[in-house]
Amino acid sequence: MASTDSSSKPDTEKPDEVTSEGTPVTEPTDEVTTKVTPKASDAVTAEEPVKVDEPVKTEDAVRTEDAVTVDGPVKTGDAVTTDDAVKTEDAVKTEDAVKVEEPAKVEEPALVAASTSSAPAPKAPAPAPKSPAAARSRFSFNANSLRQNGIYIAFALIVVLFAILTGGDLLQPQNLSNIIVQKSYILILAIGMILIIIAGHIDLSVGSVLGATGAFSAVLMVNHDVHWAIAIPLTLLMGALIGAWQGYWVAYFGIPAFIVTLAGMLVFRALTLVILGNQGIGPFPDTVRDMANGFTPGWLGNVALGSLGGADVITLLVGVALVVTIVWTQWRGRTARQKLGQSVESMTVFLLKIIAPSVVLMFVIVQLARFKNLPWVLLLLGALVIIYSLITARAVFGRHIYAIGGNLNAATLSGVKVKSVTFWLFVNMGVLSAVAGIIFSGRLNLAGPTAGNSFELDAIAAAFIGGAAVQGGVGKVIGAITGGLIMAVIDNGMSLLGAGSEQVMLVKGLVLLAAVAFDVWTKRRAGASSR
Amino acid sequence: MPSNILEMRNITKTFPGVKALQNVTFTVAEGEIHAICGENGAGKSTLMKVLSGVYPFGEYEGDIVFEGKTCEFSGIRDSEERGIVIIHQELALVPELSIAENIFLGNETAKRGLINWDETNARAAKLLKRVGLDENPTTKIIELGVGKQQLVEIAKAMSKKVRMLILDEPTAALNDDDSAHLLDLLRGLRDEGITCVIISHKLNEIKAISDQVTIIRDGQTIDTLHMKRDEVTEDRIISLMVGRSLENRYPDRDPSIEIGEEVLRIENWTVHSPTQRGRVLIRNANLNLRKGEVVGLAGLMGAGRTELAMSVFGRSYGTNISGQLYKFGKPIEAKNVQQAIAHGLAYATEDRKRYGLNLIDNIQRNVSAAALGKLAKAGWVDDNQELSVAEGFRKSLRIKAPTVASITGKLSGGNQQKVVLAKWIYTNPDVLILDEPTRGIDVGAKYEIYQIINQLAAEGKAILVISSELPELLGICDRIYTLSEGRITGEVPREKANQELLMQYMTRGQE
Repeated sequence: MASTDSSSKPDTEKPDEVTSEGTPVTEPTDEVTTKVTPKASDAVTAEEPVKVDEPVKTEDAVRTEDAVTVDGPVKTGDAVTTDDAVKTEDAVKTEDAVKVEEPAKVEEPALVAASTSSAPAPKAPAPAPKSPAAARSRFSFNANSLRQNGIYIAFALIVVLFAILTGGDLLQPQNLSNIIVQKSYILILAIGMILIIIAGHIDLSVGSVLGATGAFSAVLMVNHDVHWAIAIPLTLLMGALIGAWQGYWVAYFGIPAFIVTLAGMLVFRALTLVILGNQGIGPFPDTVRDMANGFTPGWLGNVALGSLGGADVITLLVGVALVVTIVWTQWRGRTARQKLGQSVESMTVFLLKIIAPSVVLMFVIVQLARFKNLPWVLLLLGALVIIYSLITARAVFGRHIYAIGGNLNAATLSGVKVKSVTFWLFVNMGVLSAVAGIIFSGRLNLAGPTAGNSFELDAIAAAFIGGAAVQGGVGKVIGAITGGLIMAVIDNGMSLLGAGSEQVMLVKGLVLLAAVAFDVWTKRRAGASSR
Repeated sequence: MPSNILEMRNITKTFPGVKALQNVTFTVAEGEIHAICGENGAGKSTLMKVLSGVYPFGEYEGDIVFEGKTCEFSGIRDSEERGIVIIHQELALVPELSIAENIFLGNETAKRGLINWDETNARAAKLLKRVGLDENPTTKIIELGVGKQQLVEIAKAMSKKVRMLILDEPTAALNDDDSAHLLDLLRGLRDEGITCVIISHKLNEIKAISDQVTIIRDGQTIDTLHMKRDEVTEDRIISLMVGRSLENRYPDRDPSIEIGEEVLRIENWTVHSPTQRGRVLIRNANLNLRKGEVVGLAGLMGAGRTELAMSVFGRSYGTNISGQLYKFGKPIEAKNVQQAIAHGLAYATEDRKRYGLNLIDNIQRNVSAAALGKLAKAGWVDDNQELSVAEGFRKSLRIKAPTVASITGKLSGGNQQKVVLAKWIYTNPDVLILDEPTRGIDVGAKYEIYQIINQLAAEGKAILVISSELPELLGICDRIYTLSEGRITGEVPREKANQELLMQYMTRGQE
């Protein structure tokens, strides 16, 4: 047992390491196409070389990925900008590494020049700082709104900090895409986790459930050749059943979620090992890999954005649609409140609240569009964020979650079906863990026995950094996503700077502590002013 | 006149945006019982927190002179060292520890870090004797009633060589017997030379026990009256507290409204304790409520009032419940809270902070909490409609808050109670059970609550009011049931009811 385990272990862990160390580029094949204007066709050809991992054996598959990612650190943008900026030895070393692999560089100069000389890098962070600065002057006197908005300000500051430290590399199109796609499964877990934390519970088992569901899907699709359209729903069903199991013990039997899910963490890790027979299973069908790793085809082709080069039209349209939706819903809410004679924030604050996120969103979208088409995973993540934000804000079910977390007794006496809500929360968490499980194993092209190890901690940290309260009753989906992104940016930014994993861990730990300390501090201040 | 043990001079305490205290001067003579009166939010508790060092020196302006020395407390330990001990409204005892452990918590009788239990328990027993509590020092706090817990708190204070004892609403949760005992105890302490400061809403108690009373309103000292010299009446205190005279503490009912048909009948209602096996909390209770009628339920603490109400309200308390509910003459089943609400029952709890409100959420969402379905289509809440509903209640019930987006945890007790009422009124119930609707609420807000109750009755609702304050029941009810040890022991119409009669029924034992 130990032998097979150890043989597969390094494989499954490597990709992880790669993502933290070689973060700048995980889809190295894209490197070539990165900044070339015509893309739709390239996207196809770009995928081609990866297909080298035809060899069916798992190790091979992973190794190809490894091999690919080892070449990865080739980042021409890196190289050029590091020349400009004053850099440490580390940076120079990466530069050396870069020089080993010339081909990518060939096509770049023009664009890199554009991006550095016309200075979108220094410009790029500009929209972000605008919001925190203004927001802070507005809200500094009000502990409560500081508490609500602090997370976004902190996020903006962290992004700006790393953008400056990395000489703009952090905000480069490809890197931006990587940050989001690489951590997508953590973000998906964080969505489920924040709901559970709002209700005053916790789920320590999500990493193991992710592993178990990923393994299940691998056995179905790889070992039994089940079509993905059947295998995926079955996997989601398995996630739901696991969630129902835990939900039963928590909601109906009345065991604290901490204990139930701690047990679940062990049980479902064991289940993972049983399902896999102690070895990694892969590779996955192309469709699944594409969904986890690939990009939407550029249905509408590309459009030239002047000096920024070409960009995917679909991506841009999605971005514009999102911005329009944000503006429209905010405006509608404001006018409705006004009609009801409610006080609304002043026009300046209102505009700021619309413009700041819109600008940031558009910036990200443009960068993504310049890099490639929309990643499938981002599309999925976006949909989940919107759906769950709506549920928490507007649905009866969502309201009941807050009511339970805010005051369990009052909720019970107000006729909230506490047990049923709690039960379904865990079912939901199970399904989302399964979604993350499929994406994670699809991304690695392998379902390994250690898949998802300690992901629960990342998801929980994301929720708490994102403003959830330890006692429950407080938190937002968008906050948890922001919390997850803060950690992703720290991960990515620090690895761009060549920091070791121990340093990243240290910083992330301190950020978590600081975030909760800030929450407690503002709460105390808000509490004091109430008396 | 004896010298002053305490002088607080020109105390000003500001919170961001609010001046909680403004040049408050408060003088207490040695060896007296000094009462502080004021509406909720007037600044009484803040003043006591300044005195006890909860708000340390530097966070307020002004001087505290205690026993002739200016004090600069940096924390509660400092003030306790000088002999100032405060007993808060919410008791600070550890339920799972014994009486003795609680008394000496943080102040243990120890040698080289090891506790000497024999000595601890012996000392505790002595203290318990002094406060007149006949319990074994090793009894766990959780096994004591609120009244006895209060006595443990006082014993704890006395273990610290107290010079001045501050009690914040000590009798709010006590029944009349326990209150009387506590007040006797305070008199005894005074005779032993311990100065007492007592914050209370119960004016009759203040009148009975205190030597002087200071009235605070809106963060300012209004007046200090000497009980014997000045002609102090309850009405005078009230008018000083609210800044206006309340001619009648209970609003008049519109006599033209007739009491109609029977809405709810409770038959042979029996409830067993969920924690102690075999203990019967309510035995064969029968009562009925009629349309447009305000019915009172009087009983001593522990008689089973709340247990009766909660067991009727969707069996939310108690086990092994038997009996039958009839609504408009037809038998109904309310096995859980959802069913109870669906049958038009509503229960506003006696403990709004623990059972009534989501204190970290706003007024709007608390108001809609019990009837969210009415605001939702296919599971989605129409928050604009919700907003207008909440806004409507804020205006009609005169909830004092800038908007319905205000967090309920920051409202005063009276306004919180109004939010709870709004929540239940919005469910459009036929029967409202109001458990201690005016507990911990100042006089002005009480009057408003009574008006709301009258209004609801006028709309044809049947209302059951549970209260520890007999004058309140006598003031607002058409009919009063008395409950003693889980049995309905009497039913008295308003015309015949008086405090003596009710008390007689309430103390009627089991035969």
